[in-house]
Amino acid sequence: MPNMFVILSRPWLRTLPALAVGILLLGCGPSGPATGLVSGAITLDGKPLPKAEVVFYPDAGRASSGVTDDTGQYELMFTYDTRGCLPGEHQVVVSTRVLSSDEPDAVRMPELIPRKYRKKGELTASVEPGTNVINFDLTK
Amino acid sequence: MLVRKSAFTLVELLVVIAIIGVLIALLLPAVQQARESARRMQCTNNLKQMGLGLHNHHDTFGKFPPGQMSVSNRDQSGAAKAWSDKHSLSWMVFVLPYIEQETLFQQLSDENDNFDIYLGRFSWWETGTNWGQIAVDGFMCPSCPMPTANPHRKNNAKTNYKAILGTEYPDNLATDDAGYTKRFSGTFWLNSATGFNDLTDGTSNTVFIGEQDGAEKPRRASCWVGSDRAHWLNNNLGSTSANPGFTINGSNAWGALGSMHPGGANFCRADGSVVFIPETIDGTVYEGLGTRSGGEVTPSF
Repeated sequence: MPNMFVILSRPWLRTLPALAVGILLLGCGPSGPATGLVSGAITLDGKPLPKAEVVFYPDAGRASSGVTDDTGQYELMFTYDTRGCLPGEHQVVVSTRVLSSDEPDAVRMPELIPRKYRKKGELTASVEPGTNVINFDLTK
Repeated sequence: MLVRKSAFTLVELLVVIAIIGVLIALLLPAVQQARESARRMQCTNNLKQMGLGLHNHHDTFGKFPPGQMSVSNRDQSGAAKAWSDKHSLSWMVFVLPYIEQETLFQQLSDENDNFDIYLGRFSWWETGTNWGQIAVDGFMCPSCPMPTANPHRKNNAKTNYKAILGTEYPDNLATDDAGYTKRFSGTFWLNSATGFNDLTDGTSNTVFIGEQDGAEKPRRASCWVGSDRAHWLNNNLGSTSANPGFTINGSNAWGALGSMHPGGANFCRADGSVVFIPETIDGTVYEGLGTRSGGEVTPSF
């Protein structure tokens, strides 16, 4: 056993623990795909649109969604507890016919959005890594 | 000439302690991951058993069990009840005999006039022995933190597995005959009777059981026995929609499939194999997996 300590006493080998810590930290970092944060405002005929669900469908990969608050502001969520959206081009749909999901007997809200905005194709958005502010002004 | 000392210094001792510390620090997170890995493996086995159960049901009856079967359709006088007054039994009840829960199945059957869909009393929602409160280990994912008695389902025993309805949201249907007899794009729906011949996408390209955790926020697990409203299809049926509210680990409390396993959820394909689908899966691919005859190309995910 003393031989082991002799080896460790060599100066260049003393960096071993530092190396080990370095390797340990290599595995740390954000998990999942890189996302860009997206927020913005939605108006319908110039007025803020509350309680609307906005969904960003990317060309490939998981879609992101957000729900507007009373002032029409939304923020996209990638999963339930991850903010953001995949970078790239997106097709965007907006709908107020969101399910209220507190009870199994789900209730549909009335649809206020013109049909063209509820289908893919009318609205598009380009999301870049980092922070994005994307506003939509819908007209009836 | 120098003579090598046989003793070691304080610095050398500290270095050794540091190395041992680093090794332990490496090991501890790995142990926690091993626990989750074991739970995921048990969940995989549950799905496999239910998949084999559905296959055995098909061998016996020539079709899969209904996703949810409406029961107690008529009252004592023989008059048809309103849809909202009917109860429903889940597909899991019909899997019971094939996962060695024959006795539980027999008790349920005896108490409900051999599953006479017109006369069944379904006492577990009202009075009598509540067989729905019997917890079945094979119906619960060990990673789910919800207590066994599901507080959202009248304390009936929870389940973490749902049959796949298709890409539609399993929300409240229109309360008329057309709504209740609707066929969906997946393999299971209300009073469905699909078989392998309906799975024209191929059994390896169709998922027919998914996972749903009961983490309270946002998703809530259901109970295995059925629901006290025939039209609550989201009790035992799940959707493979690309909509973020309903996709894997989505925000919808009852409709979304998901799990407490990091990064995705387990699914059982119709060929009986179990696959872990990541939550980042392309929405189009996910919808294609859920349909039984959509004709989609299914790439690797």
